[in-house]
Order: sequence, then C-alpha cells, then structure tokens
Amino acid sequence: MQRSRKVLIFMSLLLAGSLLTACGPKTAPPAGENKTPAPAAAKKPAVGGELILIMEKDPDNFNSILSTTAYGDYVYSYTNSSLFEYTDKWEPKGHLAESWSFSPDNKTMTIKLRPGVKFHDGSDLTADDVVFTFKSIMDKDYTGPRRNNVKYIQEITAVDKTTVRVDLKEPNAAIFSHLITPILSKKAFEGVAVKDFDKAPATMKPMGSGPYKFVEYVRGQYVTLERNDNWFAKDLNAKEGVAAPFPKTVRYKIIPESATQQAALENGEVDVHTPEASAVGRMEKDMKDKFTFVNYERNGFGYISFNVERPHLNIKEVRQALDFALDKQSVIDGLMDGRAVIPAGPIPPVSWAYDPSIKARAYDVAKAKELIAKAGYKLNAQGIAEKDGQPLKLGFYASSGNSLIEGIALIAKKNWLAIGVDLDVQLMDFNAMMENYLKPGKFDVSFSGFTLSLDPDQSSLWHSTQVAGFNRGRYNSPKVDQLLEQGVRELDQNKRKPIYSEFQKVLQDDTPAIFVYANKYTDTISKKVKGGIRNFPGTGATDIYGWWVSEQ
Amino acid sequence: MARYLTKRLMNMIPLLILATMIAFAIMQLAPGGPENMILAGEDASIDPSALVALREQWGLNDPIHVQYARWIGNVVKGDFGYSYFQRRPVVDIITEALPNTLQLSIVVLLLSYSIAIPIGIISAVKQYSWFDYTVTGVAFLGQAAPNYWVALLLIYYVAMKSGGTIPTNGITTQGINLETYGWISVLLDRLKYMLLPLSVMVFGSLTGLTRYMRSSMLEVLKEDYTRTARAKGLAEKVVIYKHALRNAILPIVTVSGYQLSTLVGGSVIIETIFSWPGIGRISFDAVNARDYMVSMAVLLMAGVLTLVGFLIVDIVYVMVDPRIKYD
Amino acid sequence: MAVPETNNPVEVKDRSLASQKDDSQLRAVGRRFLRNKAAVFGLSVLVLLYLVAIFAPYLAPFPLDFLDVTLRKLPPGTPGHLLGTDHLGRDVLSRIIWGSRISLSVGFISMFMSVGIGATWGAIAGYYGGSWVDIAMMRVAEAIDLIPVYFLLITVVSVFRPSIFNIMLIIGLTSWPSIAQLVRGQFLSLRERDYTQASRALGATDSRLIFRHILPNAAAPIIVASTLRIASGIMAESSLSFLGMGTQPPAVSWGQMVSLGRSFLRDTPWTAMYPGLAILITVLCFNFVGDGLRDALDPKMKR
Repeated sequence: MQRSRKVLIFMSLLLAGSLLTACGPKTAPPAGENKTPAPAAAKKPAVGGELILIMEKDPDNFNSILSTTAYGDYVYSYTNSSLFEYTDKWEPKGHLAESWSFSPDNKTMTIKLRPGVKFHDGSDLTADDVVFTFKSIMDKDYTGPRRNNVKYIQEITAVDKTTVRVDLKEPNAAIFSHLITPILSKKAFEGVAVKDFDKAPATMKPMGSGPYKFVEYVRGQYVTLERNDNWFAKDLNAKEGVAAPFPKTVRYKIIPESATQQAALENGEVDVHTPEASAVGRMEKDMKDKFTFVNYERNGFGYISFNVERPHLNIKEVRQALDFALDKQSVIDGLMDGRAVIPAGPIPPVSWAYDPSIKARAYDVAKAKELIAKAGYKLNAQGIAEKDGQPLKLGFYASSGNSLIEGIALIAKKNWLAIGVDLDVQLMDFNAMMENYLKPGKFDVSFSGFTLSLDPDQSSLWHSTQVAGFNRGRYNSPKVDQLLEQGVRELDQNKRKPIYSEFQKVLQDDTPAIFVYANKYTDTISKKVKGGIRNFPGTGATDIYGWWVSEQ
Repeated sequence: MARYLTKRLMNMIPLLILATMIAFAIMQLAPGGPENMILAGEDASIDPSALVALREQWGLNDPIHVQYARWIGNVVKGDFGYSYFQRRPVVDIITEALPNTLQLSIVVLLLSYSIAIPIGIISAVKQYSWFDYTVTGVAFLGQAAPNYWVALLLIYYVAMKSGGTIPTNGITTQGINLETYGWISVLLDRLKYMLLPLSVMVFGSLTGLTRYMRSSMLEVLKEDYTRTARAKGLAEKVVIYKHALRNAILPIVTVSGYQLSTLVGGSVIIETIFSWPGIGRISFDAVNARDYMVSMAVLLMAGVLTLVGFLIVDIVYVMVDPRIKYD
Repeated sequence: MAVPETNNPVEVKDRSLASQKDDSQLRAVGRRFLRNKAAVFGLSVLVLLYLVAIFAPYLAPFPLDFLDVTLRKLPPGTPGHLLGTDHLGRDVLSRIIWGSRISLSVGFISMFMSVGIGATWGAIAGYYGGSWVDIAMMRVAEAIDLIPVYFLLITVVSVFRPSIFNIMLIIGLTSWPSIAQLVRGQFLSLRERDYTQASRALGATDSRLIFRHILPNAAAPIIVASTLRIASGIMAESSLSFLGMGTQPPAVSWGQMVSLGRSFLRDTPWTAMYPGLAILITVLCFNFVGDGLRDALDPKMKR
C-alpha cells in the first residue's frame, strides 16, 4: 500500500477516535466507582455520601510541620487535630485542649488535654505527641517553614499523659496561633530522625486524630479521606443527635486549571469552589437555585511598601501624598473586576482588634500635591517634584509575570506622575528581585501580599527587628515597636484592644505602606450540601464537619 | 565500526562535562536559590531567617566547584539528587513527566513525517502547480507563525467556542483512571486533550520538513541518474517512486536523528500554554525556582540524547552512503 | 523543528575581492533578486515596518505610557481604537507600533552578535581544520549549543538588569554555534580550492587568506543565514517575552503583548491576536527575502 494511503488511514482512525470522545457522555460517573449512597432525607443530618472539594495543585506532602503549600494543609487540617480552634470572633477555643491556664507572670502555660482522644490507628493521643510535634520544629535539623511558631517557646514538656507545660521566653498572647499546628503522632515517626522526616512514610500518609482518616492520594488525580467514626469531638459537634462528621468520604479532586475547575463546579463534579471574579457574576444570575453563595473578605491584603530609609521616602508627608495620589479603586475595578475592598489599615474589619475609626485615605490628588509642597518640593522644568536639587525619582521593584502586579505598577506610575513623582518600574525574576534589591534594601517601592494569622499581632511585618524578615521596608518606629510588644504580652483581650487601636492610628499616620486591596471572595456551594454554611470571617465557607450531603 | 563507535562515545563524555559545567556555573551565578521560593507563598507565619539555615543545610553555600564535583560524583553513582522544591527524588519527577512529553512528541514525529514526505514529494514532482504554490505558501506561513500564537488561536477559536468539548488545557479529565474506566476511555480522553497541542506542534514541524523534503526531491530529480533512468525508457512513476524517492528520502530520514533530544526535551512553550506536565515545563519551572538538581538532570538527559542523536545520524549516513568514509 | 542549515556547495565562481568582476556580479545578483516577486514584496513590507518603528512617536495614536481603566476591554473597531484596548485601557494599535521598536531591533542586533562571533569562530576553526585548534573550538561551540537558552538567560536577566540589550546579547551569545559550524564547513571545502592554493603559493598570510579570499567566497551562505537569523532573533525574543523572561513592562514588545493577552484571552482575544500577526508578517517577509537572496546568489540551485 502506498505510503500516502497508509497515512490517510492512520489519520482517519485518529480523527475518528477523537470525535468519539467528543460524542460520548461527558460526566457520567463510572458504574464501578465506590460510591456510598447519599442519605435520603434532606432535613435531617445523616451520615453518608461523599463531599467533593477542589485541590488546585498536587500537595508537597501531608505533614503539618513540613508542608509549605496550602494544599497539604487542606488534608492535614482534617486528618490531624490542633490544640485550639477559633470562634467566628477569632477568639481561641479549646479543641484538643480542654482547658489551659497561665502562671501569674504569664510565662508558663499549662494545657490540659482532653482525655480519651485516639489516633486513627487506635493509639492514644497524649501529651507526648504534643511535645513531639513542637520539639521537632525546635530541633536543629528541622528544615520546614514553621520555626516562627516556636520562636517564643523556651521549653515544652509533658507533665503527665494529659498535661503539657509550655515555658515561654516572654508572655505572648499570640501563642494560640503559634500552637495551632496540627498534632502529629509520635509513634508514626518512631525511629526517624528529624532531618529525614520528609522521607518518612507518615509524611505522605498522615496519622492523626481528626474527623477524617487519610485513605489514599493518587498524584494528579485526587486525595480521599474517610470518616473517622471515633472522632473525639463527634458528640460535641453533633447535630440533632447525629454524631459528626456526616459525609462518609471527602474527596479532593486535583484540578489545576481554573477553566476546568469552573466546569467541574457547574457540572456538579465538585461541591464547593471559589470561582474567579468574572464567573461569580454570571453564576449569581444564572445559577441561583443550584448554589449557595458565601461572600467574604480575605484576611490579608496586597500592599505597596516603602523603604523608609531612602531619600524622599523618609519624609512622612511624601508617603502620605503617595497614598492620596494612588487611585486604588481603579486598581480594583480594572484588575480585579471590582471584587476587592480598599483595606482601612493593617488590621481587617473582621478582627476584634479592628478600630472602626480608622479609614483608608480617599483618592485626592489635590491633597497629595499640597502635602508634597508642604514637604518642600517644587516642580522642576520636566514637571517632576524637586527638593534641594534632588528630583523625586523612585524605583519600584516587583516580580515579573504577574499581570496584577504589572497593572498596579503601571497605574501607580501614571497616578504619581500627576503629582510630580517619577516612578521607574522594574519587573524581574522573583529571586533576582529578592536577592539584588529587596533583601539588601536597594529599593524604594515594592509590592507584597500577605495572608495573616488570626491573632492581630503583626510584629513580623512592622517590628524594627524584622528587617531580615518581612519588614523589608525597614520601618523603624519606637512607638510601634513598643505597641507591638505590649500587645503581644497582654493576654486580656479587653486590654489588648486599645493597644491595637493605637497601633492602627500610628501606622495610618506614618504610612510605611499603602494598603491597596483586600480580595473579596465568593465561595459557591452546591445546594446538595446541607447543614447551614458557616461563613468564617477571612476564610469563607468552612466547617465541613457541620455539613452533610443530600441529593434533595 | 566498533572502534569508530567507541571513539565517538568517548568524545561525548568531555563534551557533556563541559556543557554541564558551563550551565552549572552560569545558573549558580544567578542570585537567589531554591530556599527563596518558600517566600513566594505570601504566608506571614513563616520565618524568613530560617531560610538562611536551610540554604546552608542544602550545601548551597559551598564554592561552585565543590558543589559541581558533588553533583557529578553523585550522578556517576546513579544518584540524581533531590528536588529542593518538591522534596522528592529527581528521578521520580522525571519519570513522571517523561511519558507525558513522549506521548506528544512521538505522535508529532510520526504525523509530521507521514504527512510531510508525501506532500513534499508531490510538491516537487508537480513543481509550479497550484498544489506546489499552496504547499509552499502554507509552509512559509507555518514557519513564520509563532507557535504560541497559533496555540492561542486554536484555544480561542476551537476550544473556547466548543463549549467544553475540546478542553483548553490540561492533560486528563478529572477522575478518569485506568481502574474505573478501562484503557480505551483513558486513551480517548487523552487524545481529546492532545488534540490542540498536537495540532500546533505538527503544524510547526510539518512546514520545515515539507520544504526540506521538497527541496531534496527537487535536487534529486535534476540529478544525472534521474535523467538516465528516464532516458532508459522507464515509466515516469517508476522513475519517481523507485529511484528518485529512495535518494531524496535519505537526508530526511537520517536527519530525524537530530530530533531525538527534542523528543524528550519537549517544548516549554507548548507545555506551558496547555498545562501539559512534561519535561519542558518542569525544566523551565526548575530553572525559575532555582531547583538546581532538576534542571541539571534534565540538561544532562537532553545533552546525552542530543549527542546520541547526532551519532545515530552519522552512523545511518555511513550505512546508506558508501561514498562517505569514517576512520 | 530544527532542520540543519543545508550546506550549499558554493559555485566554482571565484568571488574573492581580488577579482575584478565584482561590479557586474553584484548587479547580476540584484537583478535575479528583483525578479523574485515574493522577495521584493517581503523587502518592501520590511522597509515599511522599519519606517513605522523609526517614526513610532509620530504614528502611534496614543503615547507609550497611556492607560485609562475606564476605557478597558473595548473591542476592535471602537472609534479611536482601531484594534481595541486591553484590560488597562491601553490602545492595542499604539502598543503594536511602539512594540515594533523592540521586536524589530532585537533581530538585527542579535544577528550581528551571532554572526559576528560565529563567523569569526567558524572561520578560524575551519581554516585550521583538523588541528587541535579546530577540535577545541568546535567542542566549545557544541557544548554551548547543547544548553537551552533559558538556562543561561535566567542568569543574565537576574544578574544584570533585564534590559532589552541584555536579551539581544543573550540571544546572540547562544545562537552563534550553528553559524560557526556553517562557516567552518565552508572553510573546510574552500581551503583546498585552487585559488586558495594559488594565493598561498604566492605568499599570502593566513589572516589575509581568511579574510580577503575565503570569507568573501563563503559570503553567500553567510548572508542568507544572517537574514534568516534576523527572523529567528525576532522569534526568539518574542518567545522569551512570552515566557516572561524577555521584555518587561513598562517597555513593550510583540511577544510580551501576546503573553499578556493570554491571561485575558476569553475577554479580549484581540490583545493577543494582533501582535502575533505582526510577528508572523515580519518573520514571513524576512524568510521571503532570505530565500530570495539564496536563489539570487546561487542561481544554479533551483529551489
């Protein structure tokens, strides 16, 4: 047979094959798949069914002290339990910890563990496991990212099977968020040196005491979790007499592409998702009856930080002027489809520490020009503000490849030119930016984003000792340092509130940074999920162990 | 022949060492390191100063030649190291990504050759016909069109308009695996995802190949021996397919050896646009994340295959063309 | 796909600069070139494009740094915006005109570097062919050829500032090996030709032989390769910019525009389509011209 004919036949087969796929059914689940039937009655919570969630990328591992990605967290936050949890008001409440007390000098914390807690393999969870978890982080061979959690711990010991004693270097109100790390099973890591933890089997097959047991992880496909029938908190979270959790299995489908995620959500292949801003509008209009929408603001922000040691930026009025001159709303409208709010200050409104009297500066070019003039600048022949022969030229350094950051840089450049500031935008490889410009402080303006912890303490961002850390802007305010230190040492929330109020006011006035946006997210949950959606401030729809699935 | 082979293989080794040394040194010159990538996560609870210790522990502060010697020493023992970023052995990462790249590149190779050869031949035989002009025109267009642009065109006009039938990217539909669906479903599902990247890649390579085949055929058709065959009174068809073809095909087929490394190396651009988890993409990501072990391993693999490819081409040339002599 | 540059055996015509027939040869080449319609078309379009690039400030409807969020995502054909606007309200047509400056100049500069280094390297290696000089030089060339561009590029863009010049530098520095191999091949064959032997017998020095006798004869494939190298330089910059390693905002290049357009493909596909089209046209024309030159310089090879 001639070559060309062979080719033709081969190609038609290939074509036919691909067409077949297009014609076939798109989403019918396989007959053979293990599927426990969903409970029949919608009104009453019942055990059964499968809750399907999305995981955007393959996780690095499921070890609560080693994982550096959010995806590992998705799993170990359900397979392992923490000492504490947080209420909707961001106050700590006991989980594995039944009660706790502080010594009079607040430097020693004694935690009493709930008795009778068992790991999924049946062994007891004792104080030894708690100590093991945190001591592993404190170990010199530890290579994970959680060292900050143990920074204030001098020593941690198991007094008896259910009592843990934490000796702090100084009193620290944020200790609850530091001790939030889900507890590992000491037995599961028996015989493994800390430096070899990432190779231990228990790192990929987590052994915990949480509401769900780890079943399997198929790379690129899914992670499956199964209900822990002996969860220690099952009765505490019971609903109408049925013990928690309710879905028999939880499955995370690994779907890296946003278009595919969206399709999966709309097809009913997954139950919960946080869609892109552009999709939410459409869904709210067309799919009101299929989904519940939960709107929330991110506990975090994107901000432009100033290197306050540099000329021009060491003048407060200049920084304030830059804040007035930046049209943040245009950033939100143009780059984020309007799905964000301008943060009032460093502490988000959902926190108990937020001071409502703090407001973000409005977009006011006239005010900005006034401040620049007040700082002693005059416009030169090129239209650039100048003082003592020095034109107001600033270098903006950010990482390349991110259209949001690019957009912010360009909008800032344009906005600030209107008040006579010449912004030189340099976008580059992340590593180069960090090593060449940010770490050594050779920059004027930079952009960062952070997701915060639930404790209002932001020492890592603003304290003068954190220059090697996240305080790259080298902000050095003795007043703020003092407030941060006070705030963290005071354990009584009522006494902490005014301290953080003061903190916000000083920061607002000093303007070491411009808070540009706090994302607004919308979690969409399939109507198949019942049980009342708890909207956790800053994180959205959570609390899967309060939900049950039902077809009705 | 055996002596020639051994000599060539021996020559490959210093070349590979040279290439890897240059690449290693230059990559290390780039500021930063894999420990910085942890900072990219925007997590305020991480302690950045701990990264300094991490770097030390990973041996990244040692002088370059020490690090290189360590790497080469390990490679010789078969240990390609550990990915800093993914915290698992490099070999695992590569063996996972390799089949994905191969799926695309092998099919591209087969399709391009089986289309380019007949079209090139017909184009040459019917020189100056409308067929020839069309083919040449399309070939020129194909060579000038950036592949990422063609990819985006296809994504927009085909995938986005198809309402989900043709996926815009990715490699597999969620949940379709061998156990529950059987291999036919998996195959068809994979083909669906391969459709667009394949089209772009085939289009790109077809054009060059077709022109090459055409010009090779044109040359052969003007050679003396072709005229002799015609003069001998043989039918035109026989002249073309039996005599000219055999000679014209030679350069094309032999040249395919040069494709060996691209088979395995994959295309960074295609894999990035279509989110295809192949070698090209993991290599590019590794270079960006300063994941040195992964990028060096991929470089070594690609380097070896490139050189082996050259070797194969040279050997085939020797075998088919008795005029060429090697010592 | 990488098809090796074919080694066209140079015609026996002696084109050394010592020959007197230069003038009419050049005219003959020119005439043959002009007869090639595609080549002429390509050349004219290229001249037009380069004029646009040079006069960009006068031709672009909007200045380079213009943006207006309230004018975002307008489709092509909207009054005032022939090719539409992007997500920041920037006029696509203007950006294409401004972007031409980088996209077009990168081709030339990287070509000069690559041919400059490659031709010299290959000439020396080829002239001393067979000796250890040749072997060592070609080994280094092969080693560099093995390394993918982005390996080296990542260092350059991070050590030095990611300027356009650096990108041109890097493209030039990584693409010279194939030119070197081409030139070396030429030299190997030309070395043994009669006129070379003759000149040598007459006492010409090595460098004189290299630069006045052999190189001009090798010129034809080098010229063709150079023209095609401009096109591949433009492609390379656009690909690198597409991957995020090339031209950075606020500067603009066509590849960068396509890359940005990718993120907004569903809403504003025109922001990716038109710049890509510009690249297509440019490279196509360079290919036409290159092919035309090849035919004009070696008339016996009918392609």
